[in-house]
Amino acid sequence: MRARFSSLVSATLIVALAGCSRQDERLRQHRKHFESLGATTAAIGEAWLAGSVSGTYTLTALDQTFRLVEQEQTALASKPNTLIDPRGAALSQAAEKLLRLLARLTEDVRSGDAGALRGHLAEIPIKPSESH
Amino acid sequence: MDLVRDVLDKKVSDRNGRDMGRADSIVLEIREGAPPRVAGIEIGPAVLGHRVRPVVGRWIAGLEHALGIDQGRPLRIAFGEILDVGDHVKVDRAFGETAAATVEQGLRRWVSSIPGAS
Amino acid sequence: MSAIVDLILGVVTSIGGFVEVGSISTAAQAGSEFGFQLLWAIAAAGLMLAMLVEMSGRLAAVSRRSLAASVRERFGIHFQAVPLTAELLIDLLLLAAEIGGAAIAIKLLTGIGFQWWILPIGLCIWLVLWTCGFAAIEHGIGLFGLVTLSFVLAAWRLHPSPLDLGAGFVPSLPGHDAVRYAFLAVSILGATVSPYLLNFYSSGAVEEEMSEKELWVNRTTAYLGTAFGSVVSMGVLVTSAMVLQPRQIVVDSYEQAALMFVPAFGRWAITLFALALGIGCFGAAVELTVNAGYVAAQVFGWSWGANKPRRDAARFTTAFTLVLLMSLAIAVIGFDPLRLTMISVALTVVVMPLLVLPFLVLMNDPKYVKDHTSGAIGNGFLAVLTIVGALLAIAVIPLEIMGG
Repeated sequence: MRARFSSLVSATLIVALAGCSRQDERLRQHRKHFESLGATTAAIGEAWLAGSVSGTYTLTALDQTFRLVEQEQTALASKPNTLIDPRGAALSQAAEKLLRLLARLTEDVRSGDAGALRGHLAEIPIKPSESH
Repeated sequence: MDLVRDVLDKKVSDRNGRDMGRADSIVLEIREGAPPRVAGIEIGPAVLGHRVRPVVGRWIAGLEHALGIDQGRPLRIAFGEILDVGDHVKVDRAFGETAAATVEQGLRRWVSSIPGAS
Repeated sequence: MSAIVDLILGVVTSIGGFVEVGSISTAAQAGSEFGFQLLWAIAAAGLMLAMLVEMSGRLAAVSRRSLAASVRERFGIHFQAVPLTAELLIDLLLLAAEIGGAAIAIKLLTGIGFQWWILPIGLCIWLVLWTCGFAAIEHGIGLFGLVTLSFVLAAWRLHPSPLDLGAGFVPSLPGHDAVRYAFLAVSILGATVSPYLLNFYSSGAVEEEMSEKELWVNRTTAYLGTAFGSVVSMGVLVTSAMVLQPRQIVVDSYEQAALMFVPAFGRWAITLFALALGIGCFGAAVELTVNAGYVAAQVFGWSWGANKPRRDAARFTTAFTLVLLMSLAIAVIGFDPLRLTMISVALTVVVMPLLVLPFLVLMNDPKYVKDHTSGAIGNGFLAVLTIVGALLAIAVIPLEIMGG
């Protein structure tokens, strides 16, 4: 009886750990993609400021980045467990901020305001960490 | 002659060298008290489809009927009309006079209507 | 002299026509996520392609039959029905992806949504096929496609470390995301060894009436052309690795991929990238379209040929037109070309054993290749590729789900 109970507890722990590990991996992948999109935003903005890319391309690329952030946010929210997790909730908030920032950057490019864009680039909420 | 190796699925050309299609099927005549005799070959998507799956053949035959192009199809060529079996099967027919040409001639009309077709 | 000219044109064409939406997507993703670590996959895939292309050309030159025709005659419709259906499905998806890639290239320059460009690009593809013979199609694509050498130039201008590059040619375990690494390695194979290339090449050999005397041209073109073409693919990977990986930008769109040219080309970056992507994709789309006509006509025994007046091969003309229309319908819906590409390269890997297996028989059948049968190396390669291909075919779908 005791042996059976121990087996049940062990099995439950293994399943729970596997679930946590899957959740960890999911969150890691989402973080990786959001960081990539933050880095993309920075790269696009810097290229525009340097005059390396046209306004047309910049607007196109920012728009596409916006769509990708939206898609990633939707994917994150598709599993409610990830939003309950504090890391998932933080990612979701960062994604929301990034979306608003992308909208502001788009306006800055449209109005040709390099100063405003430079300031907004400093506010990118999620970027790869330096130590990665 | 090995029927499967040398005839079946081989390209068929008419007496003038024009492509007619492929030998999609071989027709055997079952005779009472005698070994089967090769009656001829057939050309047509319905018999080809039938070889893949009978239902596919029926579906294609139905489509040909619906499009009104099923007359004379599948084209059957008697074994006696086969002139040569070498690199491809040469038959004593003219492509344009056979049902194998129905679709080609029909499509040629619309292709020819576009400038630059020739 | 003529053979030398053919050889030079063949190699140049192979370089210019090598890179298209599949190779750009997979190499850009591989570089941005794993640096130089997947260079070996491009080299291996390039070698496989070279060997298969050489065999396709040899088969066509000696038997005077294309690959599709040979498979129909040697194996019959029962065998061919499965790989034929699979190849047509893959070609439909890949064609839609190529058209989408070309449309995105124009979007990068104009800012106008890529869906608006699908139908005009489709019309251009059709007009090229309506008006041009085989040589014009092949050489035109190749010569215009030389703009893709900008990937090599970009990589060279970024001064990658030769030691690091060399290390990339040795297969190694990744430090992270092993499943994703494996998926990309397999995808590079699927993107490089596209089924349509083999039949297109063999059909071209028949159209151009390549003879047994020109087998050395075929061999040299296949190996040299693919080798140089692979260098262009490697250029994509290296440039992506040097520019995007340090910033941890994972390529999820062509707009992101375009950023790889900025350090090397400055103001010309987006224009060059768009030209390379657009011309590469357009050329591949033309080849895919005409190949659909080739396959249908050769399997069913219709009159065919890009060198024939279109009215003299009406079913061939109608077949490629219909396939083009179906692909345009897929493309115009707005499926992401990058996603379509990754699905089609995964499907290519799934059917690869069925595409490679016929070579094992055909290249050893004197009825088709006379005394130019494959030797031990060729047969050994085919046997290994079939077995490896079968294993990858089982693995690729789970890899696509987990790492795609």
